[in-house]
Amino acid sequence: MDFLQKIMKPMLEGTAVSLEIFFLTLLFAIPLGMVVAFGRMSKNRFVSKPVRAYQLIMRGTPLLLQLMIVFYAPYYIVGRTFDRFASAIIAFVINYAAYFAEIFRAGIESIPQGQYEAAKVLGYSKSKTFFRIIVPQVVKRILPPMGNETMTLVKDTALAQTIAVMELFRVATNASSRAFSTIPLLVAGLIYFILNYLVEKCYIKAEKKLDYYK
Amino acid sequence: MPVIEAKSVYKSFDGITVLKDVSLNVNEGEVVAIIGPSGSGKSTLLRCLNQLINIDSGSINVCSMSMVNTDEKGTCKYADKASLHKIQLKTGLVFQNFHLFPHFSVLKNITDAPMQILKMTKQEAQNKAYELLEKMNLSDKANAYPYQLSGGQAQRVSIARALALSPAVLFFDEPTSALDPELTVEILRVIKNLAKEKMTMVVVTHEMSFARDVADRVVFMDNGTVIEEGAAEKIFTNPSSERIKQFLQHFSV
Repeated sequence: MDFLQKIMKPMLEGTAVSLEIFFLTLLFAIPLGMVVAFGRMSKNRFVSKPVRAYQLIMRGTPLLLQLMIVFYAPYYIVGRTFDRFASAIIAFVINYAAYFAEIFRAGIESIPQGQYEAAKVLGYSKSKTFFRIIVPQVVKRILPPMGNETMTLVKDTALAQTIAVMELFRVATNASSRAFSTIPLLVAGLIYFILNYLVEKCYIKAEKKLDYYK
Repeated sequence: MPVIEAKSVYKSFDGITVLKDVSLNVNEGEVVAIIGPSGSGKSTLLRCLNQLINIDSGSINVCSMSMVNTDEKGTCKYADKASLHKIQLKTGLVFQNFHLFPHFSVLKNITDAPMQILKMTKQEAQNKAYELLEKMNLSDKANAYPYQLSGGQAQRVSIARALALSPAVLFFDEPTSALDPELTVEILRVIKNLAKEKMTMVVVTHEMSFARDVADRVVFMDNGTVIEEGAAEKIFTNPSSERIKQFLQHFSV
């Protein structure tokens, strides 16, 4: 009991850091993902091709490696490194935006052409069509895959330890090796599970809320 | 007064000519039925008149406003954005597959465009919507969502949605092709009633008896051209072209 009490405080602090990474990543990766999705759908090859290359790199290489590159590369280029936490956020954002963009693209492309045509003949402008007619329907359709990505992100925050960000999993590993005990790791596992249980609940709630139409 | 004046309209997709020198005039209060085999360019013509497709050459005027014009050198030029928007509101289009907005209730489907586009107040828009719903015999469905409607009800809502903007002319693109015979009758009755009120309408249809009964004028299209047009009675009983006779053989009207 004593031992648990002793490790709980640093573990909760680590959880707070993990949550910060989680929320900041969502905050920036969702709008960036929108921009990327539009770039990918662009009819201009000089836009869509580079965007596709960026997505391929982000999705085709380990996030672990991307974290290291974002943090260590500046040292070789400008001779110094930057804040670990900020580097972690940048790496997470550019990685997750690539995945989010594909979900957004799938959602947008799944809306029948007839919706655009109906809006056009009723006189809706392009932006009104997008925000009033298309986006609400896209949101409903992409909730399940977004739930998937969001839950993965909760667990992926553990990767920030590779550049020594003191997030939950790093705190747990430290405590575990100091005390020769697996208990901190199990506690960390339980915390990730609880967080994802909450994430899942939010998505279920959102899906229920949009259940009024088909 | 002509509501629609389309002259020498040409349109091709990927080298395939879909409309060849098509001209169409529609006068105020007139009901025009466009008939003809599938792939003859009927729907394409409607889509050009509703600005869903840009034409390659020719000219289109709506309510004496120029939508698109082609000069002597053959350059096809559309009007500016503001004029096109104004013209867009003069024309309404009812689709074969309704295309209602699934996330809006029936009422909102009808009020959203008048409020968003015409800047009507909520009260005005709703009054108009209820009036239209009553006309469509759908007053009890105001708060339903599109997925809860039968095909016939959905199509009547989409007609109400189009009428809510008070267009000068209403186009129908095979409005009953997705419906069973019973529901088809339901929709044709609605169009007939609108015809009685002197609503200007252009209906692309495969319902020959309807075309004969309701339309003032019938246009027969085949292969991207207008083969013959004239009073409904004349087209159905005494057409000059062999192609129409051949086409109409398959219908017992």
